[in-house]
Amino acid sequence: MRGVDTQLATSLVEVLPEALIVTRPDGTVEAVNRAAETLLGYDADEVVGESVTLFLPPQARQRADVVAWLKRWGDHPEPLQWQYIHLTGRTKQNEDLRLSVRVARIDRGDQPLYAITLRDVRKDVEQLAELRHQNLLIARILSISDDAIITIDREHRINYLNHSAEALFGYGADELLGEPLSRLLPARFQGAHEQHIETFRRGTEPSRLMGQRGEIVGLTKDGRELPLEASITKVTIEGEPHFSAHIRDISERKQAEEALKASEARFRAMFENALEAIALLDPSGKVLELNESARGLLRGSADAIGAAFWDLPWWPEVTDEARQGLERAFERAAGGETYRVRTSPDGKTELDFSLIPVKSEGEIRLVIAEARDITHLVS
Amino acid sequence: MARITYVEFDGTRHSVEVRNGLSVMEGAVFNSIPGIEGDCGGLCACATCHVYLPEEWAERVPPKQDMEERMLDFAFDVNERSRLSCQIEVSDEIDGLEVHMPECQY
Repeated sequence: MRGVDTQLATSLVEVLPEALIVTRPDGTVEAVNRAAETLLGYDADEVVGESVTLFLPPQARQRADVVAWLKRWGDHPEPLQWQYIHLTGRTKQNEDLRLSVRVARIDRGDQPLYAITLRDVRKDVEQLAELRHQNLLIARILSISDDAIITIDREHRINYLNHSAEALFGYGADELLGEPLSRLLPARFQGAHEQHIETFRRGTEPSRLMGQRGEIVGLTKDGRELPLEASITKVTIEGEPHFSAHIRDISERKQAEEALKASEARFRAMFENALEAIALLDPSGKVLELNESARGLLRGSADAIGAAFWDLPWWPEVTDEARQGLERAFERAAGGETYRVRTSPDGKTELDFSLIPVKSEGEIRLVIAEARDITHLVS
Repeated sequence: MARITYVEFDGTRHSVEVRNGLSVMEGAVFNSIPGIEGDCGGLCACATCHVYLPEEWAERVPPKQDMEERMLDFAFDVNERSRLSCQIEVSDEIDGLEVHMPECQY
């Protein structure tokens, strides 16, 4: 060290916080500083003249010859290795240490010496291991999620995607990492979508569900368009926004909705256009629905829905006897029997009722009441 | 592209497609497969991507260079089937490769 006399240099080594050990090429210790004594628990005179393997013993389950390696590193520095190779050291009290070890060769006289520095990295290693475990756990959870997950940076470039995202869009991760998100959107949606993200970026919500109004459509590698729904979240790390989207393909849901709508339309057409008056009743006899013919027969009675089937004005003048007759008929049907009754309380209009129980999973869920005006057939 | 099966020490198997040109270590890290670390990023400088190759694969991948042999000094439980997975490049020739992880990398 320029400008420093031998005495000062010795003092500097003594106060150095890093443990320093000087060895000969065969690993015999020549000198140690105070920090090394503290770290290893030995007095200097207990280690000088001893082999460095006293506190850097053969490494358990590793085949490395420590002395040979230290000499090798000193003679042929491979700087990268110093950052990554840790050795297990042992104190006088037989405690294991995790040490970061560096070595430099000192050329002096007929044989070189090796300056070895040791740093106890147990805490760093433990913290790093904990972080690594947490990262691995989260990475595994994300990677196997059924939702496709894609993360983009400020410039909307993809910086993460999981297996489901690869499968959904038909790309391998390496084809998309670093690419603009627009690769996954049909051209006509790209501008609007970027606008959505920018609006979200400027907003104060941490996350939002997008696609409920059908504004998200994805584009697969083979050119198919997919209706999507996505929950998007914003994470700003050191001023840099990242957007992460959990994406669901809603094609199947859309198809199911369409199929349900078509089925409902067919049912409506059949129900409303039937010539028979039809009332759908719940198991207690309350009216759930009436078709057009039934509404005609009831002369547009407004409060029919929710009323008891037998209380409806099926005839212009209803008698208690007729009501009770219909209630008994309903009870037969509610008991599981298809029941038919003809009645004409006013002696003018004769109605023929069929009450049909509808079972599902062993229980009566509905009763279909059909009414037919047969006055003209019996007169 | 090659399909590589990574077998954890406890026997858990992960079978993934890995693009040509990547290393076997990168294939594991990019797919978040536990048991291979690759701390140095593939520079053959840390011995934390140690794997064992099945006997039938030993001759089918390029042999170890000196540097890899030296770094294996610092891997745990090394045997004659040990390799550093950062030094095995993925290609069509290694489609179907199976690698087994050691009990620990640290």
